[in-house]
Amino acid sequence: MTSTAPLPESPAGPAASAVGLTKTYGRGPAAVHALRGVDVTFGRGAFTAIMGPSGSGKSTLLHLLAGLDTATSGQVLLGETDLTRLDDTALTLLRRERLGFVFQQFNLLPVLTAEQNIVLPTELGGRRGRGAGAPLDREWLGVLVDVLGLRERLAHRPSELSGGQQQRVAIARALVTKPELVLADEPTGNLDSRSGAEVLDFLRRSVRELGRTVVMVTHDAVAASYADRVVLLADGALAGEVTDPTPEAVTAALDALRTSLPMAGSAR
Amino acid sequence: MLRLTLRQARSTAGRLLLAGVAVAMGTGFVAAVLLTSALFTRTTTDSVAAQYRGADVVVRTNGTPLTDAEVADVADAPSVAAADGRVDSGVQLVGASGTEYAGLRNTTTAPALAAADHDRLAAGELPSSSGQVALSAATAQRLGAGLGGSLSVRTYPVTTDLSGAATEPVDVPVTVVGLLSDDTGALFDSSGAVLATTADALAWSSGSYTDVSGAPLTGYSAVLVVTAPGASPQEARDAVADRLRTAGLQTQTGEWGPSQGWTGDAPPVDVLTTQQVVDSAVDSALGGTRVLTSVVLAFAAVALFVATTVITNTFSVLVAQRTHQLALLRCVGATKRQVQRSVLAEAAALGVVASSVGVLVGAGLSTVAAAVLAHLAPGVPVPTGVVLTPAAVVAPLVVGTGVTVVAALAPARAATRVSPLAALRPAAAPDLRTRTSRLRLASSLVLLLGGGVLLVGGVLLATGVFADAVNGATGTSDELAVWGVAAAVVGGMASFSGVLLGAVFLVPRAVGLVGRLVARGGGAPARLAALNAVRNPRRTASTTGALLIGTTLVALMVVGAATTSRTLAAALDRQYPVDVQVTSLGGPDGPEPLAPEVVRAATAVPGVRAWTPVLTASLTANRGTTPDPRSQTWLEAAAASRGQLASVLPDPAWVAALAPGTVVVPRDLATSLGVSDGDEVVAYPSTTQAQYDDQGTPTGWAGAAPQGHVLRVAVTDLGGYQALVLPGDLTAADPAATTSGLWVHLSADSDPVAVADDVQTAVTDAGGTDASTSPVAVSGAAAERAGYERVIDTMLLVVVGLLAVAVLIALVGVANTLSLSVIERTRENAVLRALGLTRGQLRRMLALEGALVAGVGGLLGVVLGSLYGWAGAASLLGGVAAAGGSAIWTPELPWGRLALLLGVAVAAGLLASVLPARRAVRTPPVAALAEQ
Repeated sequence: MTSTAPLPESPAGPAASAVGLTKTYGRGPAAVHALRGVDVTFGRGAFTAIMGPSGSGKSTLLHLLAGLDTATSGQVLLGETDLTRLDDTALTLLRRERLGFVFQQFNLLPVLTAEQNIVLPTELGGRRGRGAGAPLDREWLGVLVDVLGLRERLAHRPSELSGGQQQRVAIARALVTKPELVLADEPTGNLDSRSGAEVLDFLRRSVRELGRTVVMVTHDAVAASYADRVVLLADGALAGEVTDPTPEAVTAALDALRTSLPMAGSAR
Repeated sequence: MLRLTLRQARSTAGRLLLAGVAVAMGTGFVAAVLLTSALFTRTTTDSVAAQYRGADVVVRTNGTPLTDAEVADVADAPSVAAADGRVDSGVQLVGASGTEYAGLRNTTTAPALAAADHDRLAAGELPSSSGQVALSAATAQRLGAGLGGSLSVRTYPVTTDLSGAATEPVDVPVTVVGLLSDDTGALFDSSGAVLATTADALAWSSGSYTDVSGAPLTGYSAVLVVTAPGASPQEARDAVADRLRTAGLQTQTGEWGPSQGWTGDAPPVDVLTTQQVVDSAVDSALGGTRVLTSVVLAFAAVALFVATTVITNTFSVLVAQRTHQLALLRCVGATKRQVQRSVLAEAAALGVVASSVGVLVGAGLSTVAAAVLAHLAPGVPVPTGVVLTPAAVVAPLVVGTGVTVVAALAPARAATRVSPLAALRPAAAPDLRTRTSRLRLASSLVLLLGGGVLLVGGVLLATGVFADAVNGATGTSDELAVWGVAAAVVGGMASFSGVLLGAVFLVPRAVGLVGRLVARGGGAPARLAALNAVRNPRRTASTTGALLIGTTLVALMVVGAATTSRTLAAALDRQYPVDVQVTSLGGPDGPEPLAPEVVRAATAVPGVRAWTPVLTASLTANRGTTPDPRSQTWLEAAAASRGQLASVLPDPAWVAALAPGTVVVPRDLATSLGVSDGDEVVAYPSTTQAQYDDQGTPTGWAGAAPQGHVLRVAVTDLGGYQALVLPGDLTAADPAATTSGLWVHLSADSDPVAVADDVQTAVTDAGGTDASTSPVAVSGAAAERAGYERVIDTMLLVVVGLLAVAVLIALVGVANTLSLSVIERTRENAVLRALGLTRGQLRRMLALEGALVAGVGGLLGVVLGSLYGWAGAASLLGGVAAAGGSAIWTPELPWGRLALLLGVAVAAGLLASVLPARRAVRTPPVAALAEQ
């Protein structure tokens, strides 16, 4: 399938990056250091996976990249924009126009049909005023719907769709605004292996053929192997990288991580 | 299990808060009603008891007054320490600055009874010799007499002359030697009180009782008895009764007042203990209060019913949210019954706590009511504290808890249906589709249609539409009207029950429709709000339905009152053609002219456009040209020049035919007199007496035959029952006619009700207290309307105030539903925030949802209530409306008030969303998206 949406003239540089990003919950001896000074960049047009044992801070990193949470210190840059300087409304508008999300729980609104769910981000702005943004590109919508095989299902409610179909609707929603960055948090966690494979395939195709940038958090080595690069996190800090991953390479890297870590009882 | 339940309840206390508020409001209402009623009972008891302080037994006559000999007999009876006669009458007091009627009591020599009088003495001393009086301080002030001042007591000596000649009053000069205070309200049922010595009191009250021939009797109305130490009041009572029976009197000791059918030549004398007297007096005084209490409790019942919907909603959502926990409990080994009981126990705990709060609130309200009463009626003794009777405290507690538990029964049963397997499966999205039974739809339609038919039929019946067809066949038109009203009431209740039963079908569709209309211009957030408002149809129906009850009833009352007001105004216009009539009522000698200062005062009121003095006379008339004692009819006549009359009547054409020798007769009067246009009638003064034979038929004239004045009848559309003539004709018919009337026409842009009130005030102020000025009455269409409207408005205010509680609880229900929905949708709202919905947009979304739910409830209530109010007024006033000729078929819709009602509903829906929106906005999206 060929790309029908030409990439905008993008300046050179990563799609997003974290600079000295730190996130701490609580205070004093009970403090939880979720991220400790993480520096990482995510290139344009690339599919990156973030992996690590539970408690490594990968979900926290994703949330901070999305502007859903505030960092304790450090910066998050989306293109040229420093997210840490924006107020809540500006962050919200940024999420509406420049980011796309896919969650583990499908997070579709049960009162809306599949089509209404897909176009929801474009309709949040109303007709005029702040945050109206670009109107919906119907041609692009058509492409997404066909690529994801949702043409027959557009008028159905989420309760009438299978798990895999719901996740595909979520992906369409994430892509409909042609965002600079698509963030996915364990997108295959609730799916059976066949639907999961379909979803990962679509994500990869959106990168290869539709020119998107995707950052995915996962704990599944097979899912991570669909990515171009795997970033490993452990204990709130970067712990390594695997390029052009295969499931075996990723598993090996994870095992190496586990054995190099101190045993249970490490301070978190 | 109980510990778990209570801990669960405490952890979710926030969600139960609003439900608790609803229960507290309902029980507070009930408690306030019961406590205020207890307050009235205590007030009445205290005041009645105070009248007999010191006495243990009361002997009261129901016919002839008790004599000194009888008093001595009583004092002599065993178990009696002392007895004294009591005068209970009234006299007219004349002072420097006014005259007043006051209750008359005598002083007493028995020390035990005198103590009560001494207690009431605020200054000076009690009267001890003839010509001395003690007055209540307020009366003394009004009459312009202080301690040591002088007054006159106006007595009307009664003669046995039946000739009808008036007796001249005799003014007896007295000195004020003491002032009374009236803390206990023993005297509050009379306008004032005066104490005099027994001799004086007996003399002044002579004539209160008369014997068969009309001769005045002097004596006591009652004898107060003090029991001897060591004897009980019952013993003394029986002893006194025995003694009186020996003296030849019939007695009764069981109840107050003569029983039906007594034998002998005098009704029995009551001999009762003071406790019996107090109980019986309180009973009869409170009979009306008990009815009032029941009516108000009916409103409280409506409020509690609305509260049950709030509770059911809350517990339904709680159970749905705790599915996981409940499934876990079942997995681990709790039985279905234990699960059910835990929900009910939680409801009971909520009920007890909320009801206790409600009782406290009700007690507070009752205290405020007492303070207000004390302020408004200074003479009434009001208990300063709260009167807490066991019934008033326990009943609301029991009712409140009971209602809460009953309301939680359905959700409790739903909790038992949670399968243990649900603990092992991941949490599924809530099932949005709800089953609605066909039976429910069918019965709701039946009730709605059947009720509607009954309602329409009843209204038609009551307004006499069928009168021609059915008249004479089955009962009179009055009976039909009663049947019509009954049918309309039953039909109204049935159709409303149908609406409530079918709310689950009707309401979601209505909300959806309005939501779609409103969302058209609002973009996605507005559309989401509209969709979310109906996503759980059952919950929306129940929330909106609760509000529907309150708003329908309020709208019903408002429209009913407006229609009643309009209809009565039209009827009054027909009966009183003149806006305001000021009439001098005359004295014993006949009509008297209006005092010039009264005329000046009345015509100086702003809003008066035209006025004319009128001559009035009461005439007797009959058809023909010669007076005939056998066919006399009463004819009230008024006279002024044609121009003057035309200026004060709504339609000058009514007096166009007025000419010398012509009498203008209103159509209704002409029908009742049996005269028609062009007939001749002869009129003469009504004081002319006829002579009657033994059977009572008139045979001729008592004195000289009257000459009579002949008039030609002209029937017009004039309203009322007063005929109009020119002054020359009236004086020819009755030379004693005087200018005792003033007819006033109000300007078109003035408020007739307010101006009529002003005229009344002006006339009263100008009247003065000169005994020679005869009293003046203000009547007329505007004046009557003022009276009616005041009553209608006051009643409306009271009723709406009572309904306001139910409406408030329903609005609390809206807030409750919104806040529960927010909790359910935590994850969804987080997704929306993540996708790009700003905080402001989220708040507006929830506000719109609240406004939709409440607004549709208000709108439906306004529509339904207007229909019912109009139907109700039409059926109740059917007869009046027909007579008034007004179009009962056009409803009178007070748009301002109805719009206010709708506005309140919408505003409250918006307000209800504030706190839930705050919670929704405060939750950071990331917290909700995180895995459990």
